[in-house]
Amino acid sequence: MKAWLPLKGVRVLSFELAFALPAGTKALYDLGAEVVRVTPPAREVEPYIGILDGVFQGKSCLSIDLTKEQGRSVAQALAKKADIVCSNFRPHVLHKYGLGAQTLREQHPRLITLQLSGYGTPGPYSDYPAFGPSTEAAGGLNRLLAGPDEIPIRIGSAVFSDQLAGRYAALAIVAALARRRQTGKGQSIDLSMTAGITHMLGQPVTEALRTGQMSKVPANRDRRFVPQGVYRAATPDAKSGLNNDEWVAISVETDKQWRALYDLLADAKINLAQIDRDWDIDARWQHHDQIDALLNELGQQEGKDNLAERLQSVGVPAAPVRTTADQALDSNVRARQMLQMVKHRTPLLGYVAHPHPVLPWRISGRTRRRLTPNHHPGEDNARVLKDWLQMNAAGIKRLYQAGVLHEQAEQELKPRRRRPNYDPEHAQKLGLIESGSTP
Amino acid sequence: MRVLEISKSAAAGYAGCLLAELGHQSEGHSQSDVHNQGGILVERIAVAGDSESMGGGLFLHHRKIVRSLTAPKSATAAATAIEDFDVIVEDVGPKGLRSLGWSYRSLRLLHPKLVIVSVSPFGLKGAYSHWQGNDFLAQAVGGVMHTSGYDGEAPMALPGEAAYMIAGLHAASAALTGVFGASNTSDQEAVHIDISAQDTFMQHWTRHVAEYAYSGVTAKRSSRDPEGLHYRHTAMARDGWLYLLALREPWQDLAAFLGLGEFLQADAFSNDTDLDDSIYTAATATSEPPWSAMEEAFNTTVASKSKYQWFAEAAELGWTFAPLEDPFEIADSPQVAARGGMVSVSDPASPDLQVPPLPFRIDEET
Repeated sequence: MKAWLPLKGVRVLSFELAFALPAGTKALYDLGAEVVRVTPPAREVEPYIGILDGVFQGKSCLSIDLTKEQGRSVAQALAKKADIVCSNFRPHVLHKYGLGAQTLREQHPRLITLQLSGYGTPGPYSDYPAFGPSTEAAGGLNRLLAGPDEIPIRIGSAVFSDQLAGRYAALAIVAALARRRQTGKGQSIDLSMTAGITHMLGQPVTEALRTGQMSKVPANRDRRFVPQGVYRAATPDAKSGLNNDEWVAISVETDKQWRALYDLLADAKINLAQIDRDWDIDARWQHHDQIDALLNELGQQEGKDNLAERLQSVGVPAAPVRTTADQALDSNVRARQMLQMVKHRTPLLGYVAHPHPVLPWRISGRTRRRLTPNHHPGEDNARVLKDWLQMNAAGIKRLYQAGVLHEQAEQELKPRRRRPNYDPEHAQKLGLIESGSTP
Repeated sequence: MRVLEISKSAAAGYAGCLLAELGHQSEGHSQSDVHNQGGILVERIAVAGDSESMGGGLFLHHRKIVRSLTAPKSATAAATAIEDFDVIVEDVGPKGLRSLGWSYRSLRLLHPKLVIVSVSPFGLKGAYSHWQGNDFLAQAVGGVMHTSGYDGEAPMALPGEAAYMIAGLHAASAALTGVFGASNTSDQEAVHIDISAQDTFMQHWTRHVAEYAYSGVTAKRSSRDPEGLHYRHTAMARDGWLYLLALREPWQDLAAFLGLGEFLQADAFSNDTDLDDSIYTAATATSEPPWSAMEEAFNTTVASKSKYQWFAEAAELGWTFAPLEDPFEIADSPQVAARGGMVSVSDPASPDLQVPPLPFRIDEET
């Protein structure tokens, strides 16, 4: 079976750091594009986070000093050979180096440019710095997540907004490529991470604007699915580090599903005196607290995976709530081959490979592009300058001598915690291969 | 590009929404014009389901042409019904398609170049493909939920059918990529793309999943009790909630900025000795004296200024504070206005209704 590479031949030059744009260009890489990331020399890089995120995997990497005239000339020459030039440096940065969208597109009208930033341009916040969590707050997520009388809280992923923005970037770029095929013209795209959060929340935002008030429905509840909630489950494995934090999610839509749930509760010998098998959705909504109490009782009888299977087997929609510890072990994730062991060039933290996500689409009759390790800064200087600019070895050597090109050796990955908390049982279940040196 | 959306939920609904918005933005025409201008046209067949709730439906479907389609009476009629489309984006599954007289196989036989994008909670193939599901359950098995909410309480789903919306975002990309790929490469064989909301949602916390595999570190839900924290990330400014994120900044600098001079002593606070590089070092650091000693002063100082003033002053220092906005503040935001503003939706029941614009602005002119 051959790999599906619809963007084969598309060249992306990306001035990127952190997570958001790298996630977007990683999506393009997964679809077959050639992605060259440009990193400034001597930049303090965080190898641990970079490796965990996996968003640099497979991409070529150049290290060019853009503060030097020759460095800017090389970058401009590369831009002329690219289909897409993108950046998530703050909006003024590339402009300062003569690599702004307008300058590049005047020379190369077919070029597609994308600028990604926390708040987007234009606007009064355009050049304000942001990390993903700030854009989640500004985009409405924290406010909508908490109850109306609660202090707003943030969600449990440090990279949620980044990943989302990356996906919007990939969408906008593919749309621009399709459009260019029709018109022959490129596009300048400006993407706001904050606006991405707001658009993803388009349904509740629109509903609030329509009614003039925020929803008063408590978290996890939904008038269309009653009962719906997350219920504490029994601990299947006393050795687990998260053994008191196991949960099963249940979401009932139809009266038929409700009756099946009622019968299962009866079989489980739970006292049903407070509820009625023939309740419709309105009656169930009125008695949600009472139903929840019984479902919490049910959860105590069985581990989340077995309970979800049992509920599904009688027609009640349910699922285990995955944790950071068991997400990679989920049977559906494994069956759909969503994670691939990426083999490191040198063992990291005692193992020769770790799991990272592939393109999350399954394509009929095709395979997905294999993941390969990160390239270190400057690793591909010579190859890319030769391939894209036909530069010879002597020319490349002169750029190194002038301090325009740099190369930074692969950095050693140190444990994030001074007191590491490795889980050898998890490693064993995942099938991680020890390098011989125990962390 | 012509897209047929067959939807019962926000999953394919959001894919169609994004594609319709892209068609509108790239052409600059009204919905009725797009049909004749070669942009992206989205026609929608609604199958009875859950995406019709008022605000949700108005947001998801405002630029689409709605069709009613009954099962075609003959093979010729079935072929004719789909011959003009480049893509089908659907979330009704094999059963829903059967109700329209189609199957994945028959669609591909009728229209060999058709790109089919299927979105479902757990995927068409896999260990849970036979399970009943929805956005809530996809969030449960797709992660993020477990670390969202309050410590010691039930994990919390994200609002706005987040898993379905993200799956829809992927589906829109897949639709465009499938059509573009057929013309970009010599690969003329049409594809059927199977997208699971569990898979696409899981991508949004892969750092934490990878981190556990690498080092056993796991994220936790928020604590209601701020003891042991330097400060709350979220506090009430004069005109609303402020989010105070100052990545890796020493407490002393932050305290000085906030005007909390009495808590500036270098030995009064010590950085966490457990995490070397947490992006939340300040928030997870241990503190002496405890939060209770400075809570009042902290709240008073934050409340002394507008959240937008704090936001601007922190930005001057390169810090990433943010105004924590609700939907009404977002609709009135000068940043949103500068980028073109909200999008007006013509709906008889809500004549002045506005919905959020696409998160990206497109300019074809050099």
